[in-house]
Amino acid sequence: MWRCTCLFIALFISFSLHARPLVFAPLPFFNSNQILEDFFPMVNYLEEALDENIAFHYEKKYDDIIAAFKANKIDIAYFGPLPFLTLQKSFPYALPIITFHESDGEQGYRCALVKFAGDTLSPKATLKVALTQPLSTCGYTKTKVLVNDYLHTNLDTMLYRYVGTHDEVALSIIRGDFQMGGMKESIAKEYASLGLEVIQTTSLIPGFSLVVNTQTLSLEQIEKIKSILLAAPKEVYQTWGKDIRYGMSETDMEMFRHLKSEIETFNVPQSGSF
Amino acid sequence: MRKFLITACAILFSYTLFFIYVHSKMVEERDVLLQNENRILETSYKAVTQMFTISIENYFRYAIMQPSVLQILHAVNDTNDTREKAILRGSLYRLLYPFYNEELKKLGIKQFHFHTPQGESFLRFYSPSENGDNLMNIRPSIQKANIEKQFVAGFEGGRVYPGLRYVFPIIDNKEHLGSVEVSIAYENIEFELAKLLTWSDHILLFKKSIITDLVFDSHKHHFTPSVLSDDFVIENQKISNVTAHSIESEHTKKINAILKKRYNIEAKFQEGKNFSIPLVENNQGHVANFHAIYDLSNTLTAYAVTYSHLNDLVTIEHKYITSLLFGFLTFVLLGIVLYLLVEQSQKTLREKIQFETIIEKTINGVILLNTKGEITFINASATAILGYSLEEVLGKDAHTLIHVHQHNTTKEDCPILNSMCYQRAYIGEEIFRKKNGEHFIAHLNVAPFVRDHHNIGSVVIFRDITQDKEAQKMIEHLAYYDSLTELPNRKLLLDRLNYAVANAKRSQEFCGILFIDLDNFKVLNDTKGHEYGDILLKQVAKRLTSVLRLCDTVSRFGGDEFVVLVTKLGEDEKEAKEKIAQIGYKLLLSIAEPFHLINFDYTCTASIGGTLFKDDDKTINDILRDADMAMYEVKKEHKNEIKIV
Repeated sequence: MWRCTCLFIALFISFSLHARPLVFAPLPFFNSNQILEDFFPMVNYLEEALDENIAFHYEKKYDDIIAAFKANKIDIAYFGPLPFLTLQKSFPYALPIITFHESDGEQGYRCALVKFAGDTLSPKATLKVALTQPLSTCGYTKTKVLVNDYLHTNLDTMLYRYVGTHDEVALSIIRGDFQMGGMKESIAKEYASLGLEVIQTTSLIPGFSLVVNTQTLSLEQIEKIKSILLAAPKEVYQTWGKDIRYGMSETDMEMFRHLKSEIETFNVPQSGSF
Repeated sequence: MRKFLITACAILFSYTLFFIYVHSKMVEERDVLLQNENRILETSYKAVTQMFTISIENYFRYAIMQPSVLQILHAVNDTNDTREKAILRGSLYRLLYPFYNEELKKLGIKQFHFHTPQGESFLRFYSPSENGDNLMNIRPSIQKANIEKQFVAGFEGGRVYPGLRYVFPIIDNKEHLGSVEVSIAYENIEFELAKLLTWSDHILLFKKSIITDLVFDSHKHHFTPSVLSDDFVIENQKISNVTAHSIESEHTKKINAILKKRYNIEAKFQEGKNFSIPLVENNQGHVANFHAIYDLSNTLTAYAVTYSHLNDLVTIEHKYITSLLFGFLTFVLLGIVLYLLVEQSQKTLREKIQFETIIEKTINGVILLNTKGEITFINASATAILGYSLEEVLGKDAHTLIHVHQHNTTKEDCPILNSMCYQRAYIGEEIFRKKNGEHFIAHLNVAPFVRDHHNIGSVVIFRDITQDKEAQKMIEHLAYYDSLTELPNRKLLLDRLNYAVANAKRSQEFCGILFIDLDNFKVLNDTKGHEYGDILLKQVAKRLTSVLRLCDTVSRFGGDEFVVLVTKLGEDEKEAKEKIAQIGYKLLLSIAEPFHLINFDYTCTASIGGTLFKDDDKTINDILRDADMAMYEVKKEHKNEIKIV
């Protein structure tokens, strides 16, 4: 009797979950159009190859994406390494399958400390530092390291604030709202033509990955998604968004080991200091 | 059947003309309605573009052309150092970001773009990291602004968004510093149109070529193929949802499906003009309006499309269907009337032919008169009888021309004209005059034409009865006179005898009868033949007539018997007897003279018996019998004598 009940519940959950289309969560964003524009071609490609509809799940913060993922409302998500590790800590069903390459072909990326070339840095105490998000790898976690390396100062003693995205970090610095900021190096380089300069970088960290929910997707589905993306021709993925257009490879979990131990030493503040 | 077919064809042809006319009117009325609908779309589109034009011109003057901006642009022009240029680009972004963020974005404008004098993208505020690409050859607006140094406004494709371009050349102290563009993305146009056209769904259809050729690959996903045409794309509602409501609306989908299925909409797109397509489906009216949008190089770039309910279309359709239905019923009724008219007309024609044939072939003269008595028609028999030609009588007064009035009858007394006046038929005999002046008796039948109690003329049917009259006289003569002797016969004698008996009673004068029988007449007949006898009888009759008075009557009573009625013999019987005897002797003497019978003379005698009558009770049979008996007594005794009883 108990076995039958369990089987019924398992079948019910399985049917309920598959009654909806696949759900993909891109990066958390403030500007929906830009993020959608970046991810739409890849999702479209995947939809056609899988012959299944994929719906977008939009959130403005990693926290919310993680919560939705854990609630089995998301099947596939685009995560940076830190958010992934945070998710995996409390939800072991999250599995990274594909890691996107950087513009230089590397499987990992670097975080960079940036400033506007036309600005002269003011005294440390009044410097304002722009951060992405608490759960962003290049946010508090790596910027703290970068500031310490460049200015020999503890970030906690400075003025910092989360601005949401890497692009917003760059633009807010160019606009003069902040004097420094931490962000992905590759994205920072895109803003070089606006006078944004990289003043310090980290060592290589695992790249952004597609993380699947093994509770909502079957092994077969996961393998299919992985193989479709890994087989995507260059001329196809080159038309995708700026963060995912340089190729992909299967995720190497070994790359996460160092970062995993590193984040366990930090207590990431959930809000800015001013 | 033939008449029915002809009538049916005539009605069908007429109804077809009516149908074409009504249909053209319906199309005309519907076109006016559609033109209004299209004009609303056109006006709304112009209002939106005009609104943006005014705002953007002001921004250019007061926000962009300020010294701090111009200083940066001068510096950009003066340097070739990439880093310095990047810092200047960042500085420009920093300087104008508040304006972009607080002014333009609030107006819904995202695209704010500076170009170098060479037409390269210098700074895109909506995508700052994308710059340095040359736009001179793909963006006519930028080319015109930087080469001709003119303000350019109009719809155009682009690397990121197609939309309305407002490109201002930036010139400071005669130095050309490049150009700045404020563009209204198609989304903004759609957004503003939505505010104006609240009652309708609307989308922008873009020429695929302006999207695929110009837009960065990363932006191509903004657009998705239109269901209406392979040459056009629409906003991808999954990425930008300004028009999602319209695109996903059941109303829009339904109209698009009908347009694609029933109309050659591709041909309409090829024409590149504004157009509206009316649709009536399930008793609901819809209209799809298409406003053609041309870019700065005068190439068809897009269509602004609205889908709205338009129940006036149903009203118009119902109105004209009703007209067509009523028209149909009217034409059917007309057809029946026409059929009956044709039938009646043919019947009338047949009757006319019959009438004319009768009139022309009848031996009777037929004359039609108008109310004035003038001849309006005369048939051939009438002209033949009267001797006139047609021209000589038509329009002439009949009373004067042909009617002979014995007693100078005036028109008022003329029975023919009175027949018309009193609206009564007249049948009678009148004397008519021929052209040669000869008179004749006409038997005529006059019938007035009366309509609504008013005279409208009359018909006079007549024939010449002169010969009839003469024949009648002859018949009458043969009835009362002996054909051989021309003397009154027995019948006339008896008439006159009756009259004489009655008259004698009134006048108290004696009358008498002499019964004459020729002696030996039988012998003559037997020996010489009847021819001789007849000649004798004729000659005897002449001699008897010549001897008698005018008031006396001699008649042949039969064979060789003659009876003479003698009147006015006076009141005295004796004198009367003497007078009648004298007459009898005169008769005997006249008979005694020899008669020349063909080839010999013949002498004969006669026996005469007579009698008188006055006021006694003798009948004519009594009188004749008495005279006959007296004559037989003479014949029995010695013949050639007279005996009066």
